[in-house]
Amino acid sequence: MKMTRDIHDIVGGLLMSAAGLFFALYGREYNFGSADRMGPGYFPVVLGWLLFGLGLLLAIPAWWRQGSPIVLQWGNLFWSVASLLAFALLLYPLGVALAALAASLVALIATKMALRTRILVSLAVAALTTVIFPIGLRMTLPIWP
Amino acid sequence: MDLLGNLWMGLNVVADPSTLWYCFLGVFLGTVVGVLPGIGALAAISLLLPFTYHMSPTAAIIMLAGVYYGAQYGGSTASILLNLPGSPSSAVTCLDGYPMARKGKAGVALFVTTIASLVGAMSGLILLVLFSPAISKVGLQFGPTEFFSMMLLGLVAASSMSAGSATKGLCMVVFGLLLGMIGTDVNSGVARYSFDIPELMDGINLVALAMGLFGVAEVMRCINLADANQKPDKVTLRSMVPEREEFRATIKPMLRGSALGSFLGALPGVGPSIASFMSYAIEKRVAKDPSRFGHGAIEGITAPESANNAAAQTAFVPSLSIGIPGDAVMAVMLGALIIHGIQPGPMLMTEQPELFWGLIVSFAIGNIFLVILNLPTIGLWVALLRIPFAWMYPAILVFVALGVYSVNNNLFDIYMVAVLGIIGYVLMVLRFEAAPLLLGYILGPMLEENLRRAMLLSRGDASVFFNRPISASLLALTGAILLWAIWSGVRKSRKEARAFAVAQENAAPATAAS
Repeated sequence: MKMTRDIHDIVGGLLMSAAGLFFALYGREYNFGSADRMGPGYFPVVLGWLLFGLGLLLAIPAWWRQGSPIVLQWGNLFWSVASLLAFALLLYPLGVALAALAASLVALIATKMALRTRILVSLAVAALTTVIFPIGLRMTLPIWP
Repeated sequence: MDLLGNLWMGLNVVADPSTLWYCFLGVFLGTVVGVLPGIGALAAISLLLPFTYHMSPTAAIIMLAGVYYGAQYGGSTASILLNLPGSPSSAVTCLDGYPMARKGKAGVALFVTTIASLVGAMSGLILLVLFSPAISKVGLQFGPTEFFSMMLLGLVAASSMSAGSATKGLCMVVFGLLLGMIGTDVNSGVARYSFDIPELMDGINLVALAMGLFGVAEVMRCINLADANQKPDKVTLRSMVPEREEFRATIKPMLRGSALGSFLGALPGVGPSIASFMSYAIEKRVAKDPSRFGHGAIEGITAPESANNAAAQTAFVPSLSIGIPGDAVMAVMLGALIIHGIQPGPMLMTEQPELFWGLIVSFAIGNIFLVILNLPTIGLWVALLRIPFAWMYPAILVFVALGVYSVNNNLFDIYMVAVLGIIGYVLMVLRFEAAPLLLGYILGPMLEENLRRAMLLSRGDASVFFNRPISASLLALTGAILLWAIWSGVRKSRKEARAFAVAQENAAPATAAS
């Protein structure tokens, strides 16, 4: 069997290190201060380096460990985000009902479903959303364009 | 007696019909999210948070708490019927609950877990009533040093006692602390890491963070998972009555689970998930014939279910009496109190006695509601499990978007949720637990504030943390937990860890503690 390294921890550790490094370096913009009078940069810079170290501690031993490949469901990720963005973009020009309908149709692209079911589910989502939020909870939102 | 007077006051608060209704609504919604795999208590609570703005703080917190402990009841239903835990703390229940269902004992398993849940919750509740006032008296003597050490203990415990590796947990805590730094620094007024985006000056919105990391990320993970769902069989009321032998076999595990769960839940950083896992391990150790475990041992479902419910109640001890949340759900709950203008902490009990005792009494009533909701109406939950997830997730996404928008009436928060959802999903795929991150995010500003104050008072001398007895013992405990985590990480029996990892992976890795 071909050996797969523990890629989860390698990637995860390196991402954490990168995030730590970013916070530590960017934090130099703020006054560091001293131990008795900590400036706004003190805590984040120290934590940034700590995260940098922890990330390496996670990634390095993982290189010699066996693991499984990463499975990322790109479709789910993409269409869920697209659905949220569609809702945010359409809410004011089109109103709650149509924005919810569109967001639901976009979200459903990620799954296999008959066209008729897609439309019915999306209509139900639009109706529910309109009844719950602007009507039931009296949120001030445009319902129609 | 003082205690009885307080409980009577609490009862008067809850007896109000509208409070009673919110309590019922909370536990009902909690059961729904508990039953449905894919939506956790944490996502549900953050989703409901904006709706509580027009409610009284007491009613709001009673409802949100109901969602939390209600989800512990519902979680076992999907574990037993589908081998898919409804909430992470019910992951272990799959190990023996599903084999029981395969043997035609689903009804008995559901009955026993409901009773075990009630027994666990009530023992936890008694502990909460007895110890919270005493602990809050100790909390009144806390200065910045003690608060800092206590939070450090909570963070280290939450990260290193979780199921995965301690290093990963610590990474998440530190990352969360750093995310908490975003926004205006109270001491200097400097906007940190805000990149000149005005919306980031106030920091990342708590609701957006919780919904992105848990709600959206879970939706992304579960979209196609649900297609493979098998449909649960119908469960009749008659099939739920256990035989006398079976009932007798559950008493001791129930008591052991309740005791362990009550104790563990009260520690900061340990939540229902860890309590249920540890109690399963203990049952397996004390059993005469451990080989039955994994093939439908009734102890294997009773003990963990009573443990996770006990822990869900005692998790309120550090949160309410000292104001330091022990897990991510508690952190959101405290966030809710703060939004309602109530400062959690040792003063809460004396300044807001009606809120505190009302909440306590609502736990007792809510748990009774839950038994009623879970036994006669089991058919309803089984039917709910037949709804394909694909019909529901578009609604969840739209509700998340509208819920987060309603907090500030700002579309920016929806974009923020989308970004945080991506981060949450990537973390989930890389097998990082997001709960310690959320805890770090909430405690970050408090931790920094208390550290700064303590160091200012001691003129930069860090030995102050070791010179004061309470602080020193908290730090000693923190050190012990770290050492234990390293030691057990080295010698952990690989097999058990892997079995649990698999169960956790099937679970919605969200909600409740760690």
